[in-house]
Amino acid sequence: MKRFKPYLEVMPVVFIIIFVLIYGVFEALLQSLGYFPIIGLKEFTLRYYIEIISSKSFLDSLWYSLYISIVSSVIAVIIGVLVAKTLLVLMKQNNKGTDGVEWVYKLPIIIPHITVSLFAIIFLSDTGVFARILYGLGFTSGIKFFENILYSSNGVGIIIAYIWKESPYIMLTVLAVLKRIDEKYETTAINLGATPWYAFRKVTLPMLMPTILYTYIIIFAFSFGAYEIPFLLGSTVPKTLPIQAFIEYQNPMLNNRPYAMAINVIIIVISLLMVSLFSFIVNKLYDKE
Amino acid sequence: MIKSKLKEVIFIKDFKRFLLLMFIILSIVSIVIPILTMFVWTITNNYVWPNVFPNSFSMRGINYVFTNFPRILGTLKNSIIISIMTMILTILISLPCAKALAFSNFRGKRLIEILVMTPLIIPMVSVGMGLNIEFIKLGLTGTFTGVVIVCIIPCIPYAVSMLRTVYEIVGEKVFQQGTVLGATKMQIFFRLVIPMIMPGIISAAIMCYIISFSQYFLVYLIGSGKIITFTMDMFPFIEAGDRSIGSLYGLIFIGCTVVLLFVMEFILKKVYMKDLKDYKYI
Repeated sequence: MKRFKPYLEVMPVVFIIIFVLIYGVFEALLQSLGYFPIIGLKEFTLRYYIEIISSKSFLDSLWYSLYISIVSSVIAVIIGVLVAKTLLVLMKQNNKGTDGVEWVYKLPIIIPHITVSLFAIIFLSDTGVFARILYGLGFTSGIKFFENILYSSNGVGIIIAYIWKESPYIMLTVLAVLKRIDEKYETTAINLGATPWYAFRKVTLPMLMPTILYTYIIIFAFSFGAYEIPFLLGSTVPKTLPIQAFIEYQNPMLNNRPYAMAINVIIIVISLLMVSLFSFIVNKLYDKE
Repeated sequence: MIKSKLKEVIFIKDFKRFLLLMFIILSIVSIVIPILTMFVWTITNNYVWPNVFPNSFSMRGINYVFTNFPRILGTLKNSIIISIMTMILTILISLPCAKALAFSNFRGKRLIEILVMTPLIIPMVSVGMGLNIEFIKLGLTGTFTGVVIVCIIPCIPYAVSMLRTVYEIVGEKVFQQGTVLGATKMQIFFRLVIPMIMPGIISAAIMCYIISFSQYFLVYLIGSGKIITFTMDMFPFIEAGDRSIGSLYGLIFIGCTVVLLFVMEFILKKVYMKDLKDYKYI
């Protein structure tokens, strides 16, 4: 009986994840393949996928989603890592702890994405704070410049909103790991003649890579499948994939549903592929050691 | 000459330090300023171009909240109830799971670890759409139960990993010692386990609360219009770009979260202060 104890302990979590998540994915898959008995579709077919993949609006949405997620996640990671390292360097020089200032970076965590969209509107819209500051400084084309930030097909507003929300999380995670990494390694490199920046790049950064890749994949997957921010700050075309999926989902013609589900399955598959790719990279990089 | 060279080096060092400091200050400012603007926007309305600062005082936002107070209070109540239920249930099921993952080795452990993390990877938007019909069949749509169930899912990875970390930090030996000294399972759990992992429980609980309070799409879909949460109420105003009311809602949101944080810490510390006081950390 004792042997079964761990299984019993994990059972509630496993059960609810299977009941909701796995089942939901399964249902989406079935419906995307054309199996939708409620309205009488009972044959399995790939035609929905074929039609979706060859439609231009889908491909535009796919590219748009990937572009936004990759760019925002990469920039957020870079900023997060740089801020963490800078903070640590400054604190070491002054022999203080980082606790006094960490709480600032925890603030964006309690702010919902919807409110972050509000911030984007306040600051980045064509009549927003930045546009007015530019105007006040004499750049009268302030409005014109910021017309292209929000609600535009280059997705810059969405990217900035994601960066604002995600980089503090990266910063806190990286900081926690950095504090645990023995600075012995970097100091040795510096003693052997490396500049501090070089030592960081070649010694500490590789040690951080697993954490960096792990947090990157989390924020990528989140932004890729998110609805609220792209909806509030996005353009009419193209739309990100989840928004496109929901639009198809809300179509009053129920036999349009498989199209929505096909998009959903593609979103899920791409997220899973990204994770597998990154796990593979991490394993490859660190198996050599 | 050596002195001046030295001064040069020190100056560059100071300049570098100054740059780094500016970088950090910039990051802090870029976080704090938007939050502060919310406070400003609750009491103004007109934002005449091209003023940088709003120059008129207006009670429009506050008036709106007062005239719609019953509805706002209702949605707030819904949100709080859902979030607290989600928080409690998630912690309840995550505690044993985290403990098993931290201390036991069993076949399929890797698979379970991956399964627990899947809500981080698989977007709930797609899952929700796939699940909706089944939930309708089960009668779970439009009910608090249904909404709480779907809100638990995105919280699980955070709760399990935070609790697991705390379990690993505390270590199994302490609990085994309790058994050796003759404590019953209940005693061990309530008087040993919980106080020692309390910081982890608090962090995980706050995370669960925030995640479920912020849910818009899931509640919108599964609640199917019958359950309106505060976040759902907030959404149209931000969609319309209404800065006053949007900011006011945002502040209420953050205020609720912070209040809950304090209440939780207070209650939990009060209950366990007695036990904690007798602790002598060796």
